[in-house]
Amino acid sequence: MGAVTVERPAPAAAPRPSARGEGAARRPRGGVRPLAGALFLVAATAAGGVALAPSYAEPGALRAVLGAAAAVSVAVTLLLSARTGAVPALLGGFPVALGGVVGVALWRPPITGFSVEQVASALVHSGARILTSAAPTPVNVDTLTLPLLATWLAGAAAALMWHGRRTAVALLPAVLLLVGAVVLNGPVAPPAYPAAGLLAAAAAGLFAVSGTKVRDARGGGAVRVSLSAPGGGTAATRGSTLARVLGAAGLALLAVLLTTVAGPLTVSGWQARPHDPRSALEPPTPPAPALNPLSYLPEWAAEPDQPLLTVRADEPTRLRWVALGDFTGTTWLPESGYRSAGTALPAPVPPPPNATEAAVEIAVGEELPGDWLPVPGAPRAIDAPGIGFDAVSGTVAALDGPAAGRSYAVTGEVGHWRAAEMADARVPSDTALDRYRQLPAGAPALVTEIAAEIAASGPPHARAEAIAGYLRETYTFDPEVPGGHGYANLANLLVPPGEDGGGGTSEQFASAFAVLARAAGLPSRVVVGFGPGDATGENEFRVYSGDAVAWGEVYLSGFGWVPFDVTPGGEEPGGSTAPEPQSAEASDPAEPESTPDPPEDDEPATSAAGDAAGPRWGVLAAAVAGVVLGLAGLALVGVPALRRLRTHRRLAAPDPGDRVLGAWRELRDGVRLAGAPVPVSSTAAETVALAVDLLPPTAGSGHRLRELAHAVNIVGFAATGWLTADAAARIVADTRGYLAELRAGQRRLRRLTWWLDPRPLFWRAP
Amino acid sequence: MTTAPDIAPGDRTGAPPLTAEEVAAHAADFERIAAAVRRTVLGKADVVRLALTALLSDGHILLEDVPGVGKTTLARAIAACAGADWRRIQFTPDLLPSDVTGVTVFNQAEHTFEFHPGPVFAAIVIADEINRASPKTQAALLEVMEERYVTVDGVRHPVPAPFLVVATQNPVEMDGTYRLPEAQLDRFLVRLSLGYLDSAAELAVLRGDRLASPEDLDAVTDTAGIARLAAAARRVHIHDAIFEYVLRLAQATRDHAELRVGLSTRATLALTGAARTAALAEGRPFVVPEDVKRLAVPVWAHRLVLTSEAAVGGRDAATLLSEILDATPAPQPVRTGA
Repeated sequence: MGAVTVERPAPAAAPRPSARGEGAARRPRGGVRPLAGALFLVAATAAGGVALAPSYAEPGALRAVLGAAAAVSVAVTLLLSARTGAVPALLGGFPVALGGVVGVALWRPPITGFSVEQVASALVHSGARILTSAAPTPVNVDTLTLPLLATWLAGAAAALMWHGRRTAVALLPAVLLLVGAVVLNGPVAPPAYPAAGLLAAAAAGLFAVSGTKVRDARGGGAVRVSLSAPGGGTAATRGSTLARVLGAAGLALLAVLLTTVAGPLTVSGWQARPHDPRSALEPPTPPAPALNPLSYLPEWAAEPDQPLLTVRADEPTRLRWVALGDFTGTTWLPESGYRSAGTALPAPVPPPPNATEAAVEIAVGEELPGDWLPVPGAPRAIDAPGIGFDAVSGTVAALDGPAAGRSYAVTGEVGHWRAAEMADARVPSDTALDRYRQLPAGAPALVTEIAAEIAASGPPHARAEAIAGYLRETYTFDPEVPGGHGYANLANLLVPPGEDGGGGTSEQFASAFAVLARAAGLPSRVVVGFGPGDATGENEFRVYSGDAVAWGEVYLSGFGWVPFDVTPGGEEPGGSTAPEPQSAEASDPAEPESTPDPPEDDEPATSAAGDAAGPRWGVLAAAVAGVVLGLAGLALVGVPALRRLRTHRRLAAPDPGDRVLGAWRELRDGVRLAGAPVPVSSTAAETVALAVDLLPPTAGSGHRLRELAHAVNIVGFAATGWLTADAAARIVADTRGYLAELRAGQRRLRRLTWWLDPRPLFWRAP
Repeated sequence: MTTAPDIAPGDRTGAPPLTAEEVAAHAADFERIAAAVRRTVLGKADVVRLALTALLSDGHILLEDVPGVGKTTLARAIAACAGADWRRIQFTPDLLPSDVTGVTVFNQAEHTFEFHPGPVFAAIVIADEINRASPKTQAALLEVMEERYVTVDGVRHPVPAPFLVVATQNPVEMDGTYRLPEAQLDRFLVRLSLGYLDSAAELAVLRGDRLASPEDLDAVTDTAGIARLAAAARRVHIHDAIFEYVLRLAQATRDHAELRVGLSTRATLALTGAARTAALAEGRPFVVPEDVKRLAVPVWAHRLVLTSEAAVGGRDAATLLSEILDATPAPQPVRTGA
C-alpha cells in the first residue's frame, strides 16, 4: 500500500462534487457541438480550394467541387469512424472519392472524350497535367482529380484526428492543403488571404468547440452504459456555453482580421514574385506534324486563290498563325511546347503597347494544313475545346487533331507599336533570350557584312528598322522564286548594300530579316500569319492563300516582340508593322553611337522569357532537398519541443490530482515507447507491474511506482479524495526517476531517439 | 505505513461516509480474523481472504477440491475465529431433507407439536460432500441458503445471522453422486479451491510447527463484529466507471460464443458486493478495477455454463473468463470529480 496522504476536503465546498462533471462527461455524443465541429473541419479543409480557385479558368466551379469534396469527405469519415476503426474509415471513404472523380469525368471529360482509361490516366497524371496546362488552368477531369483527391484526403485525415480528439493535429491537413494550393498557384493567382482567413476562422471555431467537446464515455467496449448522475448544472453550463461561443466568435474575428488585413500590410513592401511551378516542367510534345508553315508560303504565293479562312470581324484584322524561334541553318522550326488550356488564356508579358481588343470568329477551311489556329494578336480567350497554348510564342494549336474544319470565336489584344515610343527601348540581356540570338555556323559572309554595315550602331529599334528598310528597298517581291529559307537561299538572295538585289517571297525576306537581326545582336524570330483578306459581306472576310505572309519580330524590353514589315512591294503585309520607319530613323540620327549598344540588364526576367529556359530540374531538386531538410530540421527541433512541452504540461498541472494523472500518462507513454505496449485490460497495478518488469531488478525506482498506482486509483475511482501537493510532488519525482532509468536502460539507438520519436504525440491518452 | 484515504460525501444509499479511522479500524479487524485463520490453514492466505470476503458479503462458499487438503479445517477455523456456533452435516445418499432442516415432533407430555431444529440452525454450516445427497435434500439446503428461513409444516423458522454455508464437493469421485445443478450453483457467492500446499507449507504441517487446530483458536470477533464489518462494507464507494466495467464484462459473457449461459444480474450484484468487502479489507473506501479482476474468477466462474462443444473441447469457465478479462478494456482514471 502506498504512502499517499490525503487531506480532508471541506464538506461544504463540494456537496456532490462529481455530479456535474460526470453529467457532462457522460452525455452521449450528438447535438450541436459535433455538428459545429464538423462544419469547422469542412471550412478548414475547403480553404485549400478557396486558395486554388483563382488559378483556374472557372473559379466558381472549382470552389463548388472542392467544397463538396471537403464536406462529403468529413461527413463520410466521421460517420465511418464512429462505427469502425481509423484505417477502415479512411479506406472506406475512398470509393466515394473515386466516384466523385468519375462524376467529374462525366461532367468535364478530358479533351479526348470520356473513357475508363482516361479516368485512370487522370488519377495517375493529374498533377503533371495541371503543371503542363496554361494558366489559368482549364477545368476538366485531368486538372480536377488531384485537387479533389487531395481535399478528400485532407478532410478524411482531419476528421480522423478530430475523432481522436486531436484538434491541433486535425488542422494540419488543412494547413498543408492550403500551402500546397499556394505553391501550385505561383504567380498566377492573387495571394490567398481570404483562404488563410477562412482557415484561421475555422481553426478558432474548432478550438472553441473542442474546448467544450463532449468526452466520449471511457473504454469503448461492447456496452455503452449511460449512468447519468442526477444533478443540475445545466444553467451554469448554458451560461458558460454562451460565453464560450462569444469568445470563439471574437477569436475568429481577430484571426480573420490578422490574416486578411495584417498579412497584406506586412508584406506590402516586399517586391517578390513567386516562383511558378509550371516552369519546372516541360509540357509534353504532341506528335508534331512534320510541317513547316514557312514552306507553304511559296506554294501559296504561286496559287494565291485557295480559300483558307472565313473571318467575321468588325474590321479587317491581321491574324497570327505560327511563330518560329529556332533556326537550324536550313530551316526555321516552330515552337512545340503546348500546354492544355481552357477558354481563358494567360495575359502576355509584357502587355502589347496601345493594345486594342479584337474579337473575331474564324471558320477554318479544309485547305489549311497543320494544327495551328490563326488568332488576332495575343489571344486572351478562345471558345474552342481541347486547345493547347504556347505562352512563349503566343501560338494556339488544337491538341486533338488538325485545325481544318474548325470554327471558333477568339478575342485577342492587338498591339500598336509606335517607333517614337520605342526609340530608347533596349534589348534585355537575359540569358533566356539567348536562343533568339543564336546563329548556327555556316552563315554566308555577306550576312555579317550587311549587318555590320547597316545595323552596326544606334538603338536596337533603329537597327532593326534599318534592316527591315534595307530589305524592303533593295529587293522585289517575286512569287516565282522557289521555296527555301536556309543559308543557301539567303546567299542567293542577298547583295551588298547599295546594289540592286533579286526577288523573293515573304518566306525569304522574313528569314533574311531574322538572320540579319541576329547577326546584329538582336533577339529575333519569324512569324507566319495572314492578311485581313477580302471583304465578302458585312463584317465578313475571306482569307486566301495569297494573304499568307511571314514577317520578322525583334524583342525589345517593355514592348515584347515587335513585328517588322520586311517584304517589299505588292503584298500588303503587317497591319501591325511599325509604321513610318523613316520618321523613326529621322528622330534618332543626332545620336550617333560608335559601337553596338551593349544589351543592358534593365528589366527582370519576364515569365515569357523565363519559360523558354527549359526544365529546371536542378532547381526543383534543390527545392525538394531544401524542403526535406527543412522538415527534418523542424522535426529535430519541433518534436522534442512538443514532447517536452506536453510532459511539462502534464507534470506541472496546478491540481495535484491532474499532476498524478499526468505522471500516469507519462508512465504509460514511456512504457509503450520502450516497446511494451500496455494492454487495454490493464489496471493501474498491472501497468505498474509491467513498468517495473522493464527495469533490471537492481534498479531502485521501480518499487516506488506502487504509490503512483494507488494515487491514480484514488484520483480515478474514489468518491473524493484530495491528494496533497506533497504526495503529488513525490509521485511526480518518482515517475521522472523511473522514466530516466527506463530510458537509460534502453539500447543506444532507442536512447538517442527517445525524445525525437513523434509517435507519443499521437497516442491517445487513456 | 498506510494512511488510508478518507472518503467524503456519501454514496447513493445515503449512508454516512466512511471515515479514514473507520476504514483503518475495519481493515485491522479483517486482518486480525484472517491472521487467526491462517494459523490453521497454512500457506493459503489468498483463499482465506476470499473466504472471509464471502462471509462478510453475506455469501456462501463452495469448496471444490480433492479430499484431505483442509476444506473442513478452513470452515471450522472461520467459525472458531468468528466466535460463531457451527454444525457439520455429512451428506450421504440416504440423508433426508428433515435431517437438514429439522422436524416437528408431537410432544406427548404437552400434547403439542414442537419443532426440533436441524443442523442447519447455526451461524456456520459445513455441508460436506454436498453432491452425495439426493437432489431433494440438496434443495432443502439450497433453499435455506437463499431464503434464510426454514419452512417446516407451514411454519417459517429463521436461521441465525450471520449465516454462512460452506459446502464442499469432491470433483474426483463422481460415482453415485448428484452434481449440483447449475441454477443452484448461482446461490454460492464464491467457488474456491484450496489446492495442494507448497512444499514449505506442507513440511510445516508435517512437523506440526506453528499449526493450531481449529479447536485451539480463540474467537477474535463475534457475530456482532461480523455484522458491523458487513455493514461498513456496504458503504464502500463504487465509481460509475467500475459499474460500467462490471457490466461490460457481464455483457461479454452473455455474447460469448462458447458460453451457453452468461452471467445473471445476481452474479453482477454478487461481484460488486464482494468487491466492496475486498476493498474494505485492504483499507480502501473505494473499489478499484483490480478488485473486480481479482474476484471475477472465484465469484463468476461457477455460474457460467459452457456450450457442449466448448466443454468437449476441454475449455473451462475459468479460462474463458480470464480471456474475457484480458480482452475487455479496464476503466482508466479520468478526472471527473473535484
